[in-house]
Amino acid sequence: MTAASLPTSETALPRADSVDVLLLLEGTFPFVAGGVSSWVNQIIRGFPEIRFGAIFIGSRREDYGEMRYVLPDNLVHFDTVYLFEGRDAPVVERAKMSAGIMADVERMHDLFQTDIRHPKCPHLFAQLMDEAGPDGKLSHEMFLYSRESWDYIKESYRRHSTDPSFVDYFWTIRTIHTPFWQLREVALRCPPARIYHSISTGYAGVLGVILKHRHPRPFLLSEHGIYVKERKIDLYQAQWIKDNRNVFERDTSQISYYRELWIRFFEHLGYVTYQAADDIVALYEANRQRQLLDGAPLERTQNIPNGIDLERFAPLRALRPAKPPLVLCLIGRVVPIKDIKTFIRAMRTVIAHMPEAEAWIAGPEDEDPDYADECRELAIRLGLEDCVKFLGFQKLPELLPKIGLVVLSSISEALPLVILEGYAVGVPTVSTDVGSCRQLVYGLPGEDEAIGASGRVVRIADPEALAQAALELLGDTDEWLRASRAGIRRVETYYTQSLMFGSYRVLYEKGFAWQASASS
Amino acid sequence: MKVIYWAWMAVLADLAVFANPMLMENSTRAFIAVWAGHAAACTVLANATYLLLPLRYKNPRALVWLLMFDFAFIAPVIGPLGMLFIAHTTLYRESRSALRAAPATVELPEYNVQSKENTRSSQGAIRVRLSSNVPQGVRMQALLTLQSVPNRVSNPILEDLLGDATDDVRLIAFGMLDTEEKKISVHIHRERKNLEGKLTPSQRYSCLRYLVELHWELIYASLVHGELREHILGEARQYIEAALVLTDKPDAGIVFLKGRILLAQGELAAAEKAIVNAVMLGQPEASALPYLAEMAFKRREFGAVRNFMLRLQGLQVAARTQAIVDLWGGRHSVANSHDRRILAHI
Repeated sequence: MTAASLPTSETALPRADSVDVLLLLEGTFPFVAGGVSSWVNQIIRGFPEIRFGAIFIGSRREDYGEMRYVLPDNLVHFDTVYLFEGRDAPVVERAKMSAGIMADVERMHDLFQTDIRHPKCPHLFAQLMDEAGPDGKLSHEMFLYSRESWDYIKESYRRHSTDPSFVDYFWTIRTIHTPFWQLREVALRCPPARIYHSISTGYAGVLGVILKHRHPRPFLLSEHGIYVKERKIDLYQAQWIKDNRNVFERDTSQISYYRELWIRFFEHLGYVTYQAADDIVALYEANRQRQLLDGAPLERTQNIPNGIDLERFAPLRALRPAKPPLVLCLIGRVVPIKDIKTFIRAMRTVIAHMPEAEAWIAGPEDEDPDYADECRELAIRLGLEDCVKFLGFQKLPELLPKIGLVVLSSISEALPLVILEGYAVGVPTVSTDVGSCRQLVYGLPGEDEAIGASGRVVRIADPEALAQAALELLGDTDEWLRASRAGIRRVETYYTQSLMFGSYRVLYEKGFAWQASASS
Repeated sequence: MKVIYWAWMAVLADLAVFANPMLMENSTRAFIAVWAGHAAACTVLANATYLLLPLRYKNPRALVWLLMFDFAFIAPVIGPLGMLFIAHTTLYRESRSALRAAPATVELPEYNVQSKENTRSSQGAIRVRLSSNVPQGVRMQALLTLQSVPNRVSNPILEDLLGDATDDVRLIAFGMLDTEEKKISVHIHRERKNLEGKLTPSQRYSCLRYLVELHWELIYASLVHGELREHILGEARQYIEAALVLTDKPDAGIVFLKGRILLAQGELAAAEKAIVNAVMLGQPEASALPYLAEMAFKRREFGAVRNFMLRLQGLQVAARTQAIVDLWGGRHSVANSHDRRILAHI
């Protein structure tokens, strides 16, 4: 279905009085294409007997275009909330916060500052979040206009801020806190669900915390990347965060106060989400370890790797030529995180040794048109305009039999489906050493490792190494065939859709059983 | 005999001179004999006290000796006794303090690229703080410190971090390198577009020259490697040759840059010709000689290297170059020189 036939207005969105599983999605399906969105789509369609609902949490409506996916029939409820859309602030009127609630606010902030592992901390957070509404004891007006709130902000600035600007402190605090009232508002209009399932921590996780506090139900958290880590990386490099320290106050080895404040904010959101979740799923072991470091209770964590629909891809193996096609293909969105430029740069070396080789970049370019232009310009600058082809979105069954290598030059990934899809058709991969790619190429210790290498793994942003690895595989048919066979065996053994659905079925059934036992 | 005994003997001799009955005689012979005896005792005493002085007070040698002699000669008996007393006690204290001195500590090297100013952020210290066994928070702060270090120094460190096991470190290092590369690429893109437009020869020359400098910056900042580096060098060379065609009177800067590009491409003869030409056009010798020496070194002409280095000795050069100049000029063995303190890392 084309985007034109997808639902475009809020009125066309499905609504239901109740759902079985309510998915909490931040910045992903159905408005953003990519691995996580494909996974969400796959999960919903994989359980046709379950009635799903989904809440999409975004920044501003204009940051997203049309829906990229057709909403599955069993997605019976869909709602959106945009946290940073220019909403009018409540009318200014006298507001007073009760001494009791103010004491709780202070206590919660103290615990976040000094003793986040205190058992009361997540509970206090959920309790206050539940009060954050016009009908609660902590309305938005109270936060914005009450004397108590103003005094507390002033006191906190004096006690903690190392940045001299109170004005920036004041507005940073306001910006950080504002989404909470909107999240509580959307929590009120969510349909009753038997299981809450968040795909990340962050704001989606907080919505899960509020929902679970209001309606005690199993709360499942599946993380692809690690939200806290990704936000931290963004924040360390963000240019919009102010630093008002003067030349005498500035220590280049110390990050600015507001940057630190934002980082701590997302760390805390991550922590309270992990504490509220009943089951926490990572795609692979390194991510599970990271979740544990960020506060996930050990006994609630597990790994469930992605899986693909083998039946869709396996028949395509017959269409493959006997020798490896000299085509290196990067399948993915043309966005900075995929580091398409490193792939293009690597082609400079590949072409020097294998002039007939071609690079295909198969993925939509509309998410970051400026970056796509930069990539095209780079190809021209390097004299590669004839061998680097930007194909736009392509259907994988048509594309995969024509290529010799799936190339993944990303700087960050979790467990990329394109590698598995390539394997299923017998295409080896050259990937950067990110996420679980090493595990996908060389296998986990034991039987998986014994299968052999199904490609090569290189350092990120290293065009020379990427090119050499590609040349090694494409230049040696026997080695390429060995890698191809290893890939097929690995994906058939460990990364099938049925294995993944099986694991999630167990989790969903456990959740439904909890609901049944609680109501009986 | 110990020097101190010579000093005591000189003092006793001086006493003897002034206790001598000749002092009462009213004759020229007695006058000359007394002052000659005093002068001889003072000479011996000046020699002895000079030898007893700590090393740091011994230079300039002649003036220090003369000062010792004057003290002894101007105030007979009292002067020599006072000097001997000071020399004796100083010697005693020096030897005691030497015995009880704490072991000397070696300072960490201060990284220094161009100036003799000691930078606050030492490369060695940053690398240590970035190593994988250091707590995550410290590593992140060290990484941010690199933002205030010159690109040519920070970029190779960031390159190393691209292979780091920690995602956060790896991605921030990537982000920093990418930002650097992007800054230059944006300008390259704009200038290439400009070049396609209608330009006067002078505008075209400026545009081409800027493109050369931008391409060279990619090389200088270690942002490109391997085949890509070769390609960028090739591009830079094409632009510089196109620029030089447009001008009858090239300035020293562009000719010098051409020499450096040729040197980076390994074309030594052409590079040398361009650099010599640049010097003739006004390029300071201090910046050209190190490259001429480098080319001579690559040709294994070590005599020529030394000659170039000797020519650099009187010139104001960067600290790192100075260390190499010292080495080739034989000054590297000079103890406690100012340069040694600044170039502790060499």
